[in-house]
Amino acid sequence: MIRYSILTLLLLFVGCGTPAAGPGTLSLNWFPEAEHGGFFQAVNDAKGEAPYLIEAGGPDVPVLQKVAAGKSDFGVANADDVVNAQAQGADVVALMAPLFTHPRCIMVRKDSGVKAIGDISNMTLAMSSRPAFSHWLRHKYPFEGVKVVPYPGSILPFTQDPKFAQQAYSISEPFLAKSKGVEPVVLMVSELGFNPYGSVLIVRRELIEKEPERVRKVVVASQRGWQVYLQGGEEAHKKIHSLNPEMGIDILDYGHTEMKKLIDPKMNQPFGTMVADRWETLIAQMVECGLIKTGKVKAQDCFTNQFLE
Amino acid sequence: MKTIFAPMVALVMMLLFWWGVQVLLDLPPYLLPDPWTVFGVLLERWQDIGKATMLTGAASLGGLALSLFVGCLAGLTFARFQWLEKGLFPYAVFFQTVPVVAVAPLVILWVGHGFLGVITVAFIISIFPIVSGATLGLTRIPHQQIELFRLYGASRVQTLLKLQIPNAMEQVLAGARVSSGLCVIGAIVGEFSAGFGTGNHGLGYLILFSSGQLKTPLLLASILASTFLGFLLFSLVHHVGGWWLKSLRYVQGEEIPTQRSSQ
Repeated sequence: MIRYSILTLLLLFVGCGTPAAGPGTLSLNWFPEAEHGGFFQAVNDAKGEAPYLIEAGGPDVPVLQKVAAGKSDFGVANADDVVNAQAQGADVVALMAPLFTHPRCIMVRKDSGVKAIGDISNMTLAMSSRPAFSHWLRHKYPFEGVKVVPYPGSILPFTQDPKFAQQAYSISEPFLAKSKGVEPVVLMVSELGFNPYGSVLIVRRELIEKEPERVRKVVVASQRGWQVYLQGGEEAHKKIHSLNPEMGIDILDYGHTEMKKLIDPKMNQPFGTMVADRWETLIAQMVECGLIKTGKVKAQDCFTNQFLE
Repeated sequence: MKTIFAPMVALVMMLLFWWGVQVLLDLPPYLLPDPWTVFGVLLERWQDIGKATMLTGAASLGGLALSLFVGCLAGLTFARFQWLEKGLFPYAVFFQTVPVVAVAPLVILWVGHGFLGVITVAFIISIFPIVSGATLGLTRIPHQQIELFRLYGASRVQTLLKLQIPNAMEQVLAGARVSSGLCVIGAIVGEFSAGFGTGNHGLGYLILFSSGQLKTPLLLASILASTFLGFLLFSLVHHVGGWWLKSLRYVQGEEIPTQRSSQ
Protein backbone atom coordinates (compact mmCIF):
# COMPACT_ATOMS: atom_id res chain seq x y z
CA MET A 1 0.00 0.00 0.00
CA ILE A 2 2.83 2.30 0.84
CA ARG A 3 4.36 1.38 -2.46
CA TYR A 4 1.12 2.33 -4.12
CA SER A 5 0.99 5.73 -2.47
CA ILE A 6 4.56 6.44 -3.42
CA LEU A 7 3.85 5.46 -6.99
CA THR A 8 0.86 7.75 -7.08
CA LEU A 9 3.00 10.57 -5.76
CA LEU A 10 5.72 9.84 -8.28
CA LEU A 11 3.17 10.00 -11.05
CA LEU A 12 2.38 13.54 -9.97
CA PHE A 13 5.82 14.80 -10.58
CA VAL A 14 6.25 13.08 -13.88
CA GLY A 15 2.91 14.30 -15.18
CA CYS A 16 1.72 13.59 -18.68
CA GLY A 17 4.74 13.45 -20.92
CA THR A 18 4.57 13.39 -24.68
CA PRO A 19 4.35 9.85 -26.08
CA ALA A 20 7.78 8.43 -26.74
CA ALA A 21 8.79 7.13 -30.15
CA GLY A 22 8.51 3.38 -30.65
CA PRO A 23 5.92 1.12 -29.14
CA GLY A 24 4.07 2.20 -26.02
CA THR A 25 3.75 0.16 -22.87
CA LEU A 26 1.11 -2.33 -21.81
CA SER A 27 0.72 -2.38 -18.05
CA LEU A 28 -0.43 -5.72 -16.63
CA ASN A 29 -2.70 -5.95 -13.59
CA TRP A 30 -0.81 -8.91 -12.10
CA PHE A 31 2.38 -10.91 -12.42
CA PRO A 32 2.46 -12.46 -15.91
CA GLU A 33 0.02 -15.39 -16.02
CA ALA A 34 -2.27 -17.28 -18.39
CA GLU A 35 -4.81 -14.47 -18.12
CA HIS A 36 -2.37 -12.35 -20.18
CA GLY A 37 -1.47 -15.07 -22.69
CA GLY A 38 -2.87 -13.40 -25.80
CA PHE A 39 -0.94 -10.21 -25.19
CA PHE A 40 2.34 -12.10 -24.92
CA GLN A 41 1.42 -14.00 -28.07
CA ALA A 42 0.83 -10.67 -29.86
CA VAL A 43 4.35 -9.52 -28.97
CA ASN A 44 5.78 -12.89 -29.97
CA ASP A 45 4.07 -12.87 -33.37
CA ALA A 46 4.82 -9.25 -34.24
CA LYS A 47 6.59 -8.86 -37.55
CA GLY A 48 8.91 -5.93 -37.11
CA GLU A 49 7.97 -3.65 -34.26
CA ALA A 50 6.08 -5.11 -31.30
CA PRO A 51 2.67 -3.56 -30.61
CA TYR A 52 3.73 -2.74 -27.03
CA LEU A 53 6.33 -3.37 -24.37
CA ILE A 54 4.75 -5.44 -21.63
CA GLU A 55 5.22 -4.16 -18.07
CA ALA A 56 4.59 -6.87 -15.48
CA GLY A 57 2.29 -5.89 -12.63
CA GLY A 58 1.57 -7.14 -9.13
CA PRO A 59 -0.89 -6.73 -6.30
CA ASP A 60 -0.29 -3.02 -5.75
CA VAL A 61 0.29 -1.72 -9.26
CA PRO A 62 -2.18 1.09 -10.02
CA VAL A 63 -2.83 0.15 -13.65
CA LEU A 64 -5.85 2.40 -14.08
CA GLN A 65 -4.07 5.43 -12.65
CA LYS A 66 -1.02 4.78 -14.83
CA VAL A 67 -3.09 4.51 -17.98
CA ALA A 68 -5.30 7.48 -17.10
CA ALA A 69 -2.28 9.67 -16.34
CA GLY A 70 -0.46 8.67 -19.51
CA LYS A 71 2.36 6.85 -17.75
CA SER A 72 1.34 3.73 -19.66
CA ASP A 73 -0.33 3.82 -23.04
CA PHE A 74 -2.29 0.62 -22.60
CA GLY A 75 -3.25 -1.62 -19.73
CA VAL A 76 -4.98 -4.86 -18.79
CA ALA A 77 -7.77 -4.64 -16.24
CA ASN A 78 -11.20 -5.96 -15.37
CA ALA A 79 -14.40 -4.26 -16.47
CA ASP A 80 -15.26 -3.23 -12.90
CA ASP A 81 -11.93 -1.37 -12.67
CA VAL A 82 -12.93 0.64 -15.73
CA VAL A 83 -16.26 1.56 -14.10
CA ASN A 84 -14.44 2.63 -10.92
CA ALA A 85 -12.03 4.73 -12.98
CA GLN A 86 -14.90 6.42 -14.84
CA ALA A 87 -16.65 7.09 -11.53
CA GLN A 88 -13.55 8.94 -10.31
CA GLY A 89 -13.25 11.00 -13.47
CA ALA A 90 -10.41 9.00 -15.04
CA ASP A 91 -11.35 8.70 -18.71
CA VAL A 92 -10.23 5.15 -19.40
CA VAL A 93 -11.88 3.13 -22.17
CA ALA A 94 -12.06 -0.64 -22.79
CA LEU A 95 -11.01 -1.63 -26.32
CA MET A 96 -11.33 -5.40 -26.37
CA ALA A 97 -12.51 -8.08 -23.96
CA PRO A 98 -10.79 -11.45 -24.47
CA LEU A 99 -12.63 -13.12 -21.60
CA PHE A 100 -16.37 -13.10 -22.16
CA THR A 101 -16.90 -14.89 -18.87
CA HIS A 102 -14.88 -13.69 -15.91
CA PRO A 103 -12.69 -16.41 -14.34
CA ARG A 104 -13.62 -15.21 -10.83
CA CYS A 105 -14.90 -17.99 -8.63
CA ILE A 106 -15.28 -18.99 -5.02
CA MET A 107 -13.33 -22.16 -4.34
CA VAL A 108 -14.55 -24.47 -1.60
CA ARG A 109 -13.29 -27.88 -0.57
CA LYS A 110 -15.20 -30.90 -1.74
CA ASP A 111 -15.26 -32.26 1.82
CA SER A 112 -17.13 -29.11 2.94
CA GLY A 113 -20.22 -30.35 1.10
CA VAL A 114 -20.99 -26.83 -0.19
CA LYS A 115 -22.58 -26.83 -3.66
CA ALA A 116 -23.46 -23.15 -4.23
CA ILE A 117 -22.09 -19.78 -3.13
CA GLY A 118 -25.43 -18.96 -1.47
CA ASP A 119 -25.09 -22.08 0.69
CA ILE A 120 -21.88 -20.93 2.32
CA SER A 121 -22.52 -20.63 6.04
CA ASN A 122 -20.53 -21.09 9.24
CA MET A 123 -17.25 -20.99 7.36
CA THR A 124 -14.31 -18.69 6.80
CA LEU A 125 -14.51 -16.93 3.44
CA ALA A 126 -11.41 -15.13 2.17
CA MET A 127 -12.15 -12.27 -0.23
CA SER A 128 -10.24 -9.11 -1.05
CA SER A 129 -12.08 -5.83 -0.54
CA ARG A 130 -10.60 -4.41 -3.74
CA PRO A 131 -12.54 -6.06 -6.58
CA ALA A 132 -16.24 -5.23 -6.94
CA PHE A 133 -17.42 -8.85 -6.83
CA SER A 134 -16.74 -9.21 -3.09
CA HIS A 135 -18.98 -6.23 -2.29
CA TRP A 136 -21.68 -7.53 -4.58
CA LEU A 137 -21.62 -11.02 -3.05
CA ARG A 138 -21.79 -9.62 0.47
CA HIS A 139 -24.67 -7.41 -0.54
CA LYS A 140 -26.51 -10.29 -2.22
CA TYR A 141 -26.08 -13.18 0.21
CA PRO A 142 -26.59 -13.37 3.96
CA PHE A 143 -23.50 -15.56 4.58
CA GLU A 144 -24.79 -16.55 7.98
CA GLY A 145 -22.09 -17.34 10.50
CA VAL A 146 -19.48 -16.67 7.83
CA LYS A 147 -16.29 -14.93 8.85
CA VAL A 148 -15.17 -12.84 5.90
CA VAL A 149 -11.39 -12.40 6.03
CA PRO A 150 -8.87 -10.79 3.67
CA TYR A 151 -7.62 -12.80 0.72
CA PRO A 152 -4.40 -14.51 1.88
CA GLY A 153 -2.69 -14.51 -1.54
CA SER A 154 -1.90 -18.20 -1.16
CA ILE A 155 -3.88 -21.42 -0.94
CA LEU A 156 -2.11 -22.57 2.21
CA PRO A 157 -5.04 -21.91 4.61
CA PHE A 158 -7.34 -23.63 2.10
CA THR A 159 -5.31 -26.82 2.32
CA GLN A 160 -5.41 -26.74 6.13
CA ASP A 161 -9.07 -26.18 6.90
CA PRO A 162 -12.13 -27.87 5.31
CA LYS A 163 -14.23 -24.90 6.47
CA PHE A 164 -12.16 -22.42 4.48
CA ALA A 165 -13.52 -20.94 1.25
CA GLN A 166 -11.65 -18.39 -0.85
CA GLN A 167 -11.82 -16.22 -3.92
CA ALA A 168 -9.95 -17.66 -6.89
CA TYR A 169 -9.55 -17.64 -10.64
CA SER A 170 -10.95 -20.78 -12.24
CA ILE A 171 -7.88 -20.85 -14.51
CA SER A 172 -5.34 -21.01 -11.71
CA GLU A 173 -5.98 -21.84 -8.02
CA PRO A 174 -7.99 -25.06 -8.52
CA PHE A 175 -4.89 -26.52 -10.17
CA LEU A 176 -2.76 -25.59 -7.18
CA ALA A 177 -5.29 -27.07 -4.76
CA LYS A 178 -5.35 -30.36 -6.67
CA SER A 179 -1.57 -30.46 -6.79
CA LYS A 180 -1.56 -30.15 -2.99
CA GLY A 181 -3.96 -33.08 -2.78
CA VAL A 182 -7.10 -31.12 -1.90
CA GLU A 183 -10.12 -31.60 -4.14
CA PRO A 184 -11.70 -28.19 -4.87
CA VAL A 185 -15.21 -27.28 -5.97
CA VAL A 186 -15.28 -24.25 -8.26
CA LEU A 187 -18.33 -22.01 -7.88
CA MET A 188 -18.31 -19.41 -10.66
CA VAL A 189 -19.42 -15.93 -9.64
CA SER A 190 -20.52 -15.34 -13.24
CA GLU A 191 -23.23 -17.96 -12.86
CA LEU A 192 -24.87 -15.80 -10.20
CA GLY A 193 -25.17 -12.97 -12.71
CA PHE A 194 -22.13 -10.91 -11.75
CA ASN A 195 -19.89 -11.14 -14.76
CA PRO A 196 -17.64 -8.24 -15.73
CA TYR A 197 -15.50 -8.71 -18.83
CA GLY A 198 -12.04 -9.99 -17.91
CA SER A 199 -8.46 -9.23 -19.07
CA VAL A 200 -9.78 -6.16 -20.87
CA LEU A 201 -7.41 -4.05 -22.97
CA ILE A 202 -7.70 -0.42 -21.83
CA VAL A 203 -6.47 2.98 -23.05
CA ARG A 204 -7.09 6.60 -22.11
CA ARG A 205 -9.58 8.38 -24.35
CA GLU A 206 -7.08 11.06 -25.26
CA LEU A 207 -4.97 8.50 -27.12
CA ILE A 208 -7.97 7.27 -29.14
CA GLU A 209 -8.64 10.84 -30.23
CA LYS A 210 -5.02 11.76 -30.95
CA GLU A 211 -3.62 8.55 -32.46
CA PRO A 212 -6.52 6.37 -33.60
CA GLU A 213 -4.36 4.56 -36.13
CA ARG A 214 -1.87 3.46 -33.49
CA VAL A 215 -4.67 2.31 -31.19
CA ARG A 216 -6.23 0.35 -34.05
CA LYS A 217 -2.94 -1.45 -34.75
CA VAL A 218 -2.58 -2.41 -31.10
CA VAL A 219 -6.15 -3.65 -30.86
CA VAL A 220 -5.89 -5.73 -34.01
CA ALA A 221 -2.54 -7.19 -32.97
CA SER A 222 -4.01 -8.11 -29.56
CA GLN A 223 -7.06 -9.71 -31.17
CA ARG A 224 -4.81 -11.86 -33.37
CA GLY A 225 -2.54 -12.63 -30.45
CA TRP A 226 -5.45 -13.92 -28.44
CA GLN A 227 -6.87 -15.99 -31.27
CA VAL A 228 -3.49 -17.59 -31.94
CA TYR A 229 -2.85 -18.07 -28.24
CA LEU A 230 -6.12 -19.91 -27.74
CA GLN A 231 -5.13 -22.38 -30.47
CA GLY A 232 -1.75 -23.28 -29.00
CA GLY A 233 -0.10 -21.17 -26.37
CA GLU A 234 3.34 -22.81 -26.07
CA GLU A 235 5.36 -19.74 -27.09
CA ALA A 236 3.42 -17.38 -24.84
CA HIS A 237 3.70 -19.82 -21.94
CA LYS A 238 7.46 -20.01 -22.34
CA LYS A 239 7.69 -16.25 -22.24
CA ILE A 240 5.37 -15.99 -19.21
CA HIS A 241 7.30 -18.70 -17.39
CA SER A 242 10.62 -16.95 -18.04
CA LEU A 243 9.24 -13.71 -16.60
CA ASN A 244 7.39 -15.32 -13.71
CA PRO A 245 9.12 -18.62 -12.84
CA GLU A 246 6.50 -19.24 -10.14
CA MET A 247 4.09 -19.98 -12.99
CA GLY A 248 5.05 -23.47 -14.13
CA ILE A 249 4.26 -24.62 -17.66
CA ASP A 250 1.82 -27.18 -16.23
CA ILE A 251 -0.34 -24.58 -14.46
CA LEU A 252 -0.24 -22.35 -17.55
CA ASP A 253 -1.44 -25.26 -19.68
CA TYR A 254 -4.22 -25.87 -17.18
CA GLY A 255 -5.18 -22.19 -17.37
CA HIS A 256 -5.15 -22.38 -21.15
CA THR A 257 -7.61 -25.29 -21.18
CA GLU A 258 -9.88 -23.64 -18.62
CA MET A 259 -9.76 -20.31 -20.38
CA LYS A 260 -11.22 -21.75 -23.57
CA LYS A 261 -14.45 -22.18 -21.61
CA LEU A 262 -14.50 -18.45 -20.89
CA ILE A 263 -14.42 -17.22 -24.50
CA ASP A 264 -17.51 -15.85 -26.24
CA PRO A 265 -19.34 -18.96 -27.47
CA LYS A 266 -20.92 -17.07 -30.38
CA MET A 267 -18.23 -16.71 -33.01
CA ASN A 268 -20.29 -14.48 -35.30
CA GLN A 269 -18.70 -11.19 -34.24
CA PRO A 270 -15.13 -9.92 -34.09
CA PHE A 271 -13.07 -11.43 -31.28
CA GLY A 272 -13.30 -9.42 -28.07
CA THR A 273 -16.54 -7.59 -28.92
CA MET A 274 -18.37 -6.06 -25.96
CA VAL A 275 -22.09 -5.45 -25.52
CA ALA A 276 -23.53 -2.30 -23.91
CA ASP A 277 -26.06 -4.37 -21.94
CA ARG A 278 -23.30 -6.15 -20.08
CA TRP A 279 -21.72 -2.84 -19.05
CA GLU A 280 -25.10 -1.46 -17.99
CA THR A 281 -25.75 -4.51 -15.84
CA LEU A 282 -22.34 -4.18 -14.23
CA ILE A 283 -22.85 -0.47 -13.49
CA ALA A 284 -26.30 -1.20 -12.00
CA GLN A 285 -24.81 -3.94 -9.81
CA MET A 286 -22.03 -1.67 -8.59
CA VAL A 287 -24.59 1.03 -7.76
CA GLU A 288 -26.73 -1.57 -5.99
CA CYS A 289 -23.95 -2.61 -3.61
CA GLY A 290 -22.95 0.98 -2.93
CA LEU A 291 -19.62 1.12 -4.76
CA ILE A 292 -20.58 3.99 -7.05
CA LYS A 293 -23.32 6.61 -7.05
CA THR A 294 -26.35 6.43 -9.36
CA GLY A 295 -25.92 8.20 -12.70
CA LYS A 296 -22.20 8.71 -12.24
CA VAL A 297 -21.06 6.33 -15.00
CA LYS A 298 -22.58 5.74 -18.44
CA ALA A 299 -22.08 2.42 -20.22
CA GLN A 300 -21.19 4.05 -23.54
CA ASP A 301 -18.29 5.91 -21.89
CA CYS A 302 -16.71 2.67 -20.70
CA PHE A 303 -15.97 0.88 -23.95
CA THR A 304 -15.69 1.00 -27.71
CA ASN A 305 -15.76 -1.74 -30.34
CA GLN A 306 -14.69 0.66 -33.10
CA PHE A 307 -11.21 -0.84 -33.61
CA LEU A 308 -12.17 -4.50 -33.67
CA GLU A 309 -11.84 -6.37 -36.95
CA MET B 1 0.59 29.41 22.90
CA LYS B 2 4.10 29.75 21.52
CA THR B 3 4.47 25.98 21.21
CA ILE B 4 1.36 25.73 19.03
CA PHE B 5 2.18 28.69 16.82
CA ALA B 6 5.14 27.29 14.85
CA PRO B 7 3.53 23.90 14.01
CA MET B 8 0.33 25.69 12.97
CA VAL B 9 2.23 27.95 10.56
CA ALA B 10 3.99 24.88 9.16
CA LEU B 11 0.63 23.12 8.74
CA VAL B 12 -0.88 26.04 6.84
CA MET B 13 2.21 26.24 4.63
CA MET B 14 2.06 22.53 3.85
CA LEU B 15 -1.64 22.70 3.01
CA LEU B 16 -1.01 25.66 0.73
CA PHE B 17 1.86 23.81 -0.97
CA TRP B 18 -0.33 20.74 -1.47
CA TRP B 19 -3.13 22.88 -2.88
CA GLY B 20 -0.69 24.82 -5.07
CA VAL B 21 0.79 21.65 -6.57
CA GLN B 22 -2.69 20.32 -7.29
CA VAL B 23 -3.87 23.52 -8.95
CA LEU B 24 -0.67 24.36 -10.85
CA LEU B 25 -0.19 20.88 -12.32
CA ASP B 26 -3.96 20.60 -12.84
CA LEU B 27 -4.04 17.11 -11.36
CA PRO B 28 -7.22 15.06 -11.50
CA PRO B 29 -8.64 13.99 -8.12
CA TYR B 30 -7.81 10.30 -8.62
CA LEU B 31 -4.10 11.25 -8.68
CA LEU B 32 -4.11 14.01 -6.09
CA PRO B 33 -7.27 15.60 -4.75
CA ASP B 34 -6.97 19.08 -3.23
CA PRO B 35 -6.86 19.26 0.59
CA TRP B 36 -10.45 20.54 0.85
CA THR B 37 -11.78 17.48 -0.98
CA VAL B 38 -9.93 15.23 1.46
CA PHE B 39 -11.32 17.20 4.43
CA GLY B 40 -14.73 16.97 2.79
CA VAL B 41 -14.41 13.17 2.74
CA LEU B 42 -13.24 13.23 6.36
CA LEU B 43 -16.37 15.17 7.33
CA GLU B 44 -18.73 13.19 5.12
CA ARG B 45 -17.49 9.79 6.29
CA TRP B 46 -16.34 10.70 9.79
CA GLN B 47 -18.39 7.87 11.27
CA ASP B 48 -16.71 5.18 9.13
CA ILE B 49 -13.27 6.68 9.51
CA GLY B 50 -13.78 7.31 13.23
CA LYS B 51 -14.91 3.75 13.83
CA ALA B 52 -12.00 2.37 11.81
CA THR B 53 -9.55 4.58 13.71
CA MET B 54 -10.94 3.38 17.05
CA LEU B 55 -10.66 -0.24 16.01
CA THR B 56 -7.13 0.11 14.67
CA GLY B 57 -6.27 2.18 17.73
CA ALA B 58 -7.53 -0.54 20.07
CA ALA B 59 -5.45 -3.17 18.27
CA SER B 60 -2.39 -0.90 18.30
CA LEU B 61 -2.77 -0.31 22.04
CA GLY B 62 -3.18 -4.05 22.56
CA GLY B 63 -0.01 -4.75 20.62
CA LEU B 64 1.86 -2.03 22.49
CA ALA B 65 0.69 -3.29 25.88
CA LEU B 66 1.73 -6.82 24.99
CA SER B 67 5.10 -5.49 23.79
CA LEU B 68 5.60 -3.61 27.04
CA PHE B 69 4.73 -6.63 29.13
CA VAL B 70 6.76 -9.21 27.19
CA GLY B 71 9.55 -6.73 26.45
CA CYS B 72 10.08 -5.82 30.10
CA LEU B 73 9.89 -9.45 31.11
CA ALA B 74 12.51 -10.34 28.49
CA GLY B 75 14.64 -7.42 29.63
CA LEU B 76 14.49 -8.63 33.25
CA THR B 77 15.40 -12.15 32.19
CA PHE B 78 18.30 -10.91 30.08
CA ALA B 79 19.55 -8.72 32.92
CA ARG B 80 19.39 -11.55 35.44
CA PHE B 81 20.94 -14.20 33.22
CA GLN B 82 23.61 -12.52 31.14
CA TRP B 83 24.40 -15.71 29.27
CA LEU B 84 20.80 -15.73 28.06
CA GLU B 85 21.20 -12.18 26.81
CA LYS B 86 24.38 -13.13 24.97
CA GLY B 87 22.64 -16.10 23.42
CA LEU B 88 19.23 -14.65 22.64
CA PHE B 89 19.61 -10.92 22.09
CA PRO B 90 20.87 -11.37 18.52
CA TYR B 91 17.65 -13.23 17.82
CA ALA B 92 15.59 -10.44 19.33
CA VAL B 93 16.93 -8.33 16.49
CA PHE B 94 14.97 -10.70 14.27
CA PHE B 95 11.80 -8.88 15.32
CA GLN B 96 13.33 -5.63 14.13
CA THR B 97 14.46 -6.90 10.73
CA VAL B 98 11.68 -9.31 9.81
CA PRO B 99 9.64 -8.06 6.82
CA VAL B 100 6.35 -7.82 8.62
CA VAL B 101 4.30 -7.71 5.41
CA ALA B 102 5.64 -11.12 4.45
CA VAL B 103 5.30 -12.66 7.90
CA ALA B 104 1.80 -11.38 8.63
CA PRO B 105 0.01 -14.03 6.50
CA LEU B 106 1.98 -16.75 8.29
CA VAL B 107 1.20 -15.34 11.70
CA ILE B 108 -2.49 -15.40 10.78
CA LEU B 109 -2.12 -19.05 9.88
CA TRP B 110 -0.77 -19.73 13.36
CA VAL B 111 -2.93 -17.53 15.58
CA GLY B 112 -6.01 -17.15 13.39
CA HIS B 113 -7.89 -14.25 11.83
CA GLY B 114 -9.49 -11.38 13.65
CA PHE B 115 -8.49 -9.11 16.51
CA LEU B 116 -5.92 -11.48 18.01
CA GLY B 117 -4.12 -11.83 14.67
CA VAL B 118 -3.92 -8.06 14.25
CA ILE B 119 -2.61 -7.58 17.80
CA THR B 120 0.04 -10.24 17.21
CA VAL B 121 1.39 -8.47 14.15
CA ALA B 122 1.37 -5.13 16.01
CA PHE B 123 3.24 -6.86 18.83
CA ILE B 124 5.91 -8.36 16.54
CA ILE B 125 6.73 -5.05 14.96
CA SER B 126 6.80 -3.07 18.22
CA ILE B 127 8.58 -5.33 20.70
CA PHE B 128 12.24 -4.81 19.80
CA PRO B 129 12.71 -1.18 20.93
CA ILE B 130 11.26 -2.13 24.32
CA VAL B 131 13.38 -5.26 24.83
CA SER B 132 16.39 -3.28 23.79
CA GLY B 133 15.58 -0.33 26.07
CA ALA B 134 14.78 -2.53 29.05
CA THR B 135 17.90 -4.67 28.69
CA LEU B 136 20.12 -1.65 28.25
CA GLY B 137 18.60 0.24 31.16
CA LEU B 138 18.79 -2.74 33.53
CA THR B 139 22.38 -3.63 32.75
CA ARG B 140 24.22 -0.43 31.89
CA ILE B 141 24.58 1.08 35.33
CA PRO B 142 27.51 3.18 36.53
CA HIS B 143 29.75 0.77 38.41
CA GLN B 144 30.20 3.21 41.33
CA GLN B 145 26.49 2.89 42.04
CA ILE B 146 26.61 -0.89 41.91
CA GLU B 147 29.58 -0.88 44.22
CA LEU B 148 27.79 1.48 46.58
CA PHE B 149 24.86 -0.94 46.77
CA ARG B 150 27.22 -3.81 47.35
CA LEU B 151 29.05 -1.87 50.04
CA TYR B 152 25.84 -1.38 51.98
CA GLY B 153 25.05 -5.07 51.58
CA ALA B 154 21.95 -4.61 49.43
CA SER B 155 20.31 -7.86 48.40
CA ARG B 156 19.81 -8.76 44.76
CA VAL B 157 16.10 -7.85 44.97
CA GLN B 158 16.90 -4.52 46.59
CA THR B 159 19.44 -3.73 43.91
CA LEU B 160 16.90 -4.60 41.25
CA LEU B 161 14.06 -2.61 42.74
CA LYS B 162 15.97 0.45 43.89
CA LEU B 163 18.75 0.73 41.34
CA GLN B 164 18.24 -1.26 38.17
CA ILE B 165 14.53 -0.68 37.57
CA PRO B 166 14.59 3.07 38.27
CA ASN B 167 17.60 3.27 36.00
CA ALA B 168 15.77 1.38 33.23
CA MET B 169 12.49 3.30 33.29
CA GLU B 170 13.72 6.12 31.10
CA GLN B 171 15.09 3.70 28.51
CA VAL B 172 11.89 1.67 28.47
CA LEU B 173 9.91 4.85 27.94
CA ALA B 174 12.20 5.84 25.06
CA GLY B 175 11.65 2.41 23.54
CA ALA B 176 7.90 2.68 24.05
CA ARG B 177 7.85 6.02 22.26
CA VAL B 178 9.41 4.41 19.19
CA SER B 179 7.08 1.42 19.51
CA SER B 180 3.98 3.61 19.75
CA GLY B 181 4.39 4.63 16.12
CA LEU B 182 5.42 1.16 14.98
CA CYS B 183 2.45 -0.59 16.53
CA VAL B 184 0.03 1.47 14.43
CA ILE B 185 1.86 0.35 11.29
CA GLY B 186 1.75 -3.22 12.62
CA ALA B 187 -1.99 -3.01 13.23
CA ILE B 188 -2.64 -1.72 9.72
CA VAL B 189 -0.42 -4.31 8.03
CA GLY B 190 -1.89 -6.96 10.30
CA GLU B 191 -5.37 -6.03 9.17
CA PHE B 192 -4.33 -6.41 5.52
CA SER B 193 -3.90 -10.11 6.30
CA ALA B 194 -6.03 -10.81 9.34
CA GLY B 195 -8.98 -8.47 9.09
CA PHE B 196 -11.17 -7.72 12.07
CA GLY B 197 -13.87 -10.11 10.92
CA THR B 198 -17.10 -9.57 9.02
CA GLY B 199 -18.37 -6.01 9.04
CA ASN B 200 -15.64 -4.69 11.33
CA HIS B 201 -13.43 -2.40 9.31
CA GLY B 202 -10.26 -0.79 10.55
CA LEU B 203 -7.99 1.64 8.74
CA GLY B 204 -6.26 -1.23 6.92
CA TYR B 205 -9.53 -2.17 5.25
CA LEU B 206 -10.27 1.44 4.31
CA ILE B 207 -6.79 1.83 2.80
CA LEU B 208 -7.03 -1.37 0.74
CA PHE B 209 -10.59 -0.74 -0.34
CA SER B 210 -10.15 2.89 -1.34
CA SER B 211 -6.96 2.25 -3.30
CA GLY B 212 -8.56 -0.67 -5.15
CA GLN B 213 -11.53 1.46 -6.12
CA LEU B 214 -9.44 4.50 -7.12
CA LYS B 215 -11.05 6.48 -4.29
CA THR B 216 -7.93 8.56 -3.70
CA PRO B 217 -9.60 11.20 -1.47
CA LEU B 218 -10.78 8.44 0.88
CA LEU B 219 -7.33 6.82 0.70
CA LEU B 220 -5.65 10.07 1.73
CA ALA B 221 -8.24 10.64 4.46
CA SER B 222 -7.48 7.14 5.82
CA ILE B 223 -3.75 7.80 5.69
CA LEU B 224 -4.31 11.07 7.56
CA ALA B 225 -6.33 9.19 10.18
CA SER B 226 -3.50 6.62 10.50
CA THR B 227 -0.86 9.26 11.06
CA PHE B 228 -3.13 11.05 13.50
CA LEU B 229 -3.54 7.80 15.40
CA GLY B 230 0.24 7.27 15.50
CA PHE B 231 0.66 10.83 16.74
CA LEU B 232 -2.02 10.31 19.39
CA LEU B 233 -0.39 7.13 20.71
CA PHE B 234 3.01 8.78 20.71
CA SER B 235 1.80 11.71 22.79
CA LEU B 236 -0.09 9.36 25.08
CA VAL B 237 3.06 7.36 25.78
CA HIS B 238 5.18 10.49 25.99
CA HIS B 239 2.96 12.38 28.42
CA VAL B 240 1.56 9.56 30.54
CA GLY B 241 4.96 7.88 30.69
CA GLY B 242 6.71 11.14 31.49
CA TRP B 243 4.19 12.00 34.17
CA TRP B 244 4.47 8.55 35.68
CA LEU B 245 8.25 8.69 35.78
CA LYS B 246 8.12 12.04 37.47
CA SER B 247 5.65 10.87 40.08
CA LEU B 248 7.77 7.78 40.76
CA ARG B 249 10.79 9.95 41.39
CA TYR B 250 8.95 11.98 43.98
CA VAL B 251 8.10 8.78 45.79
CA GLN B 252 11.61 7.46 45.59
CA GLY B 253 13.21 10.87 45.85
CA GLU B 254 15.36 9.95 48.80
CA GLU B 255 16.85 7.00 47.03
CA ILE B 256 17.88 9.01 44.00
CA PRO B 257 19.03 12.37 45.25
CA THR B 258 20.97 13.19 42.08
CA GLN B 259 17.76 13.33 40.08
CA ARG B 260 16.22 15.86 42.40
CA SER B 261 19.17 18.19 42.50
CA SER B 262 19.19 18.34 38.73
CA GLN B 263 15.63 19.68 38.59
